Amino acid sequence: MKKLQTARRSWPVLGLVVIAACAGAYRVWHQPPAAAFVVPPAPPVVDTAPRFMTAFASSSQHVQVHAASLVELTDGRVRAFWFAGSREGASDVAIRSAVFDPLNDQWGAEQVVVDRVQTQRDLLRYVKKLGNPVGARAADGSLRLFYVTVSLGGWAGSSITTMTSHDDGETWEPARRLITSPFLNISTLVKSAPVGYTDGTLGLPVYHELVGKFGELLRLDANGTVFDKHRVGAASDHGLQPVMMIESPQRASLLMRYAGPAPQRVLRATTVDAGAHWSAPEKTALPNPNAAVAALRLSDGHMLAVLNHQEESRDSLSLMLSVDGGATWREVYRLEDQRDGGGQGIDAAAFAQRAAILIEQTDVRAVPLVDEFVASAQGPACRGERCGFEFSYPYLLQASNGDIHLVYTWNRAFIKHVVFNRALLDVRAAGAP
Amino acid sequence: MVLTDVTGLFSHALALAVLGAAMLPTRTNVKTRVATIVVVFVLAWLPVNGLPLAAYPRGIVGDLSITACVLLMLSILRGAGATAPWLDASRVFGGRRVAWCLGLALLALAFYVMALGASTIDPYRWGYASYGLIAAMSAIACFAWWQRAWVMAIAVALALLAWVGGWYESSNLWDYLIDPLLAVYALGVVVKRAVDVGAGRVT
Repeated sequence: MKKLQTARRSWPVLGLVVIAACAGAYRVWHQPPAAAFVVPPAPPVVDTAPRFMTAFASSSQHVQVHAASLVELTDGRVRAFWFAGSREGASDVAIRSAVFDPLNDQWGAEQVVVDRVQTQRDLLRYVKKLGNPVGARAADGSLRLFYVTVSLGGWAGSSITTMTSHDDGETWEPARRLITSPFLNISTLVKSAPVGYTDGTLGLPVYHELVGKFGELLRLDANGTVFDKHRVGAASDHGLQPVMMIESPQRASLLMRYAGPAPQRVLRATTVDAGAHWSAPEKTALPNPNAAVAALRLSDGHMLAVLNHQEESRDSLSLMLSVDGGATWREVYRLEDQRDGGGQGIDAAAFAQRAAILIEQTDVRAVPLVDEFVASAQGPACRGERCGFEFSYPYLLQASNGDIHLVYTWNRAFIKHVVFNRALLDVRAAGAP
Repeated sequence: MVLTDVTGLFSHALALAVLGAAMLPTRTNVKTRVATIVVVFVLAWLPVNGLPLAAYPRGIVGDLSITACVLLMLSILRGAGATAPWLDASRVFGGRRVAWCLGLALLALAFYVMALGASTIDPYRWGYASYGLIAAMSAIACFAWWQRAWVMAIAVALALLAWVGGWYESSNLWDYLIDPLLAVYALGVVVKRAVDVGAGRVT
């Protein structure tokens, strides 16, 4: 190799390096200090009769829907987001939204929030597909929407994109990309709502699924820029889709979907320093068929979870209660139960019959024609003459009036909505074994 | 279009221009080479199906690191006929291009594997606010200056300054220092040298 002993060292270059080093150190010095969680306020205690109402939040027929989330608006209404298109991952998939009015228990018309073409125009990056919308309230009162976009490959190639609304979701500013990962900025996905910190920043639970599956807590500043991240467990834990429950300014726990070898159990991890460090995820006693879970902490410390309480398939959905901070759980309501016992599916006629009953039993739906609903459901649920029910991707929200809202995917055809209150929960808990 | 979109697209427009010039026959004269670079650079900003052409690789790869941009600019200067001795391919690395590329490739390999979950340590996190990473990178830049590998010293310094200034959408220093295409380039340099040594073309 040549040795260039005669070449001079350039002092201006060294000067540039020194200036850059000082600038870098100055920037680190200005990093926001550690903050504490904002503990959600307790809703008012109101003596009311038990309330349990079911509805379909989405109304479009003959589309595939999935990944619903909820956020409360400033006027007490509840807005849902989900994705819909010809099938999951298709280029025509768009993020849709509708608003539930608790005063008349009605869902408003669906609207398209953003689609693939608009997203790639805003981002000035090619986008192949999108999904997983999560709505949340930022400290400045604006509404933030986080969703997943893919430019190459499958969902493992996802990045997170975000939009802001200053009118509770009627209009949105152009989408911006979150830079969260060094390798092509891929493989970060979102499923559950962010948590607030006392300094106005957000903690967004996300997960990776490219090389290894693990959860993470992203820290976003007031502008929505990522300024830190904290890993939850390692790839060897096989955790996905974390959902957080804040217990105090420094303590929180989270539940995660499990995608590893048997036994299939929901994972749990805790933090005692506002999310900076997390305990190694441990398996709970809750079975999990590698499916999303929802969780919510009530103001008295009791916890709710909604999940497929079985190790295989997603044809039932259960509401679980824990009174000991998540150490033990018991089922208090079987929300859906269409288990076929053998994993072979059921024939199309039986599926249509059962689906019709479920639709007729739903309290509120936008379109009254049961047959059309059943036909919409058969599309994604049936392969030839064999069909299987699927109830998945639950999402829980407690509104400021105390009502607890749940949305979930109903056979990939509709977004099902359930609203209940504490009085109902107390009745079910008293009656459950 | 905000500034960080312009800078991101700019990095890919540079890369496309260099790619365009690299596809020309070796004996192409300087004028043709310069014209190709300029034309491809301009084409990269033209819309294709509603997006600038450079937005397509940007969607897949993300913004290119400052280190990559510095090397691309050097390549453009050489392609444009600049013949100053300090621009010579061997001199910019202080005569140790393969060694620097080997170090870069190994760093990238360890970094990406750990950042994607293969270990409990997440080095990508240091890129948000770590005095340790600033110190380590500054030390590498000083070492590069001492070794007369001025391109590496300037690349790291400019990466630090760009990160402080918010040049790209990313707020993480690593995204300014390295990127997968740079790692592939470094690996390519090392592999080519290994092949040449094996074939007896280089002692």
